[in-house]
Amino acid sequence: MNYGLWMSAAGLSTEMHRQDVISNNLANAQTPGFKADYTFTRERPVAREELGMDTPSQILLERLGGGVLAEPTWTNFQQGGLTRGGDLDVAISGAGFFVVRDGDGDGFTRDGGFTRGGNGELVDSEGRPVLSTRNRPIRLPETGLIAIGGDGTVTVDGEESGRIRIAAPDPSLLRKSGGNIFRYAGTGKVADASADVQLKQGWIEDSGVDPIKSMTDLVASSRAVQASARFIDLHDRMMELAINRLGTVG
Amino acid sequence: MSTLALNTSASGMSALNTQLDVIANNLANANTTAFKSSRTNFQDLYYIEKKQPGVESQIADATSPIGLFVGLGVEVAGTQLDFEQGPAIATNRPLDVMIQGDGFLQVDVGELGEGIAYTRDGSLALDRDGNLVLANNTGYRIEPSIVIPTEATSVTIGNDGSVYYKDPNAIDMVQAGTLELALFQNNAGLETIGQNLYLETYASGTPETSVAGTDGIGTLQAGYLEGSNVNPVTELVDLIRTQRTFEMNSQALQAADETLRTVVNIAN
Repeated sequence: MNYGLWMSAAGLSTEMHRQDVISNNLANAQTPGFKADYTFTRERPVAREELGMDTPSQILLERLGGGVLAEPTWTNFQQGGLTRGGDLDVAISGAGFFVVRDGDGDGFTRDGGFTRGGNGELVDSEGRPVLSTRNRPIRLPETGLIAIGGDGTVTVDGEESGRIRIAAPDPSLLRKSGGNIFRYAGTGKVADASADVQLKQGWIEDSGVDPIKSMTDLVASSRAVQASARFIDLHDRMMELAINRLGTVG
Repeated sequence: MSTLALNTSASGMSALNTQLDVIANNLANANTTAFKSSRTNFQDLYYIEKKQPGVESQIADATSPIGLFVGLGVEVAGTQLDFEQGPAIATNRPLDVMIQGDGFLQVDVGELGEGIAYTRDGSLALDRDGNLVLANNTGYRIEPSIVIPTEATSVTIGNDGSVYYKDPNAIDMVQAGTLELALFQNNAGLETIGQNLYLETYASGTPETSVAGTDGIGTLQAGYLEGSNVNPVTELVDLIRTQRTFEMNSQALQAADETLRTVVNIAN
């Protein structure tokens, strides 16, 4: 009987984990270039299989399975909507990332809210330099009209200052590290994006969070919590009956 | 644990509250001369790698997949000034100047900052000693200082910022000085101190001063003022978006709260 109690408890903790992830998505519903996270669950194998034991176990319980396990958090890298922005706002249309550099190395971002830094370099909202195709910061002249072409070429008053690098790292090897930055967890050089990935000057990519999906997931998760809690309650009552009624001597 | 969700939603509500403040300030300044609207930039907070929920610790290593990460919410990365040119408003007042293009007028602010503040509000006036000053309650003097003698009958400002006055005893206009404009690498990095004034910061870079119309600096138009560049329609759309996102975050907070209540009441 305790077996089911633990399965319900696992269901409850998994749903709470799901709520943590949904809350983070909703908190970032207005973060530019944010990519929503999703949780998935899978059936947990029975303890005998999980621990690799040879000992035979209760066949009835084995049929029940081992409860539930959360799958790794999956990030949806789908293109977000575009909103009108300022002159130095750039959105990526297609699968690719800007490369910015900070103390921890190169970071990948889809947040193209750039500015002209105090030192004259093209920087992101945190002041990290945006790298060019030569992996160097892009230095802008003090004045002039900045035009950013679809291929990332930055020209100021007709003079080329550099070309913004659009990298295409394998999304499954990207890890979020906060500050709108993804870090590449793989090894080796990150490839550049294909030529059909274009930049759009004067636009900024919205957060990829779908508010309707998030809210319905939240409601579903709340109900699942209640269901699991109810089952824990029922297990508790059954045990109470078993111990105090069935087991009463005399 | 859902207490994570509680804090995450709270971070969202707090960041959106800041955005609400910024929008309110933009709308309040929809008629302020040369006002530059601000935008709130958001960024996600840190991510933590979690242990598999619901799995006892001794076998967690065997089943815990890599990448079970949870974000901790959102923060305001900063507010960014939008220096797009505001509309030209004709005033026909000779001492009103509008900067058409990039550049800032410099004023002497005494002890504040480096002693010089920068503004795009070109409504100027003369004080009782004939100094050219800002026509507001501060009366800060224009830098470098320009003095118009008290006997002068009229003042005109040229497109290059040269200030002339009419001396009743002379035939030609006499030049009293030239308005110099300052140019920054990064206007958005300037610090706003109110009263339409900005201070230099590390992020803005050091200014270079020059005569209007040269070195990429804009020209001056006397008889005009620059209006506020706040677009009420975009601000109101942003206001609705902010309000709804705020509500969603408050719903997430309630869901987390409800979950914790359910858990607490399990064996009740």
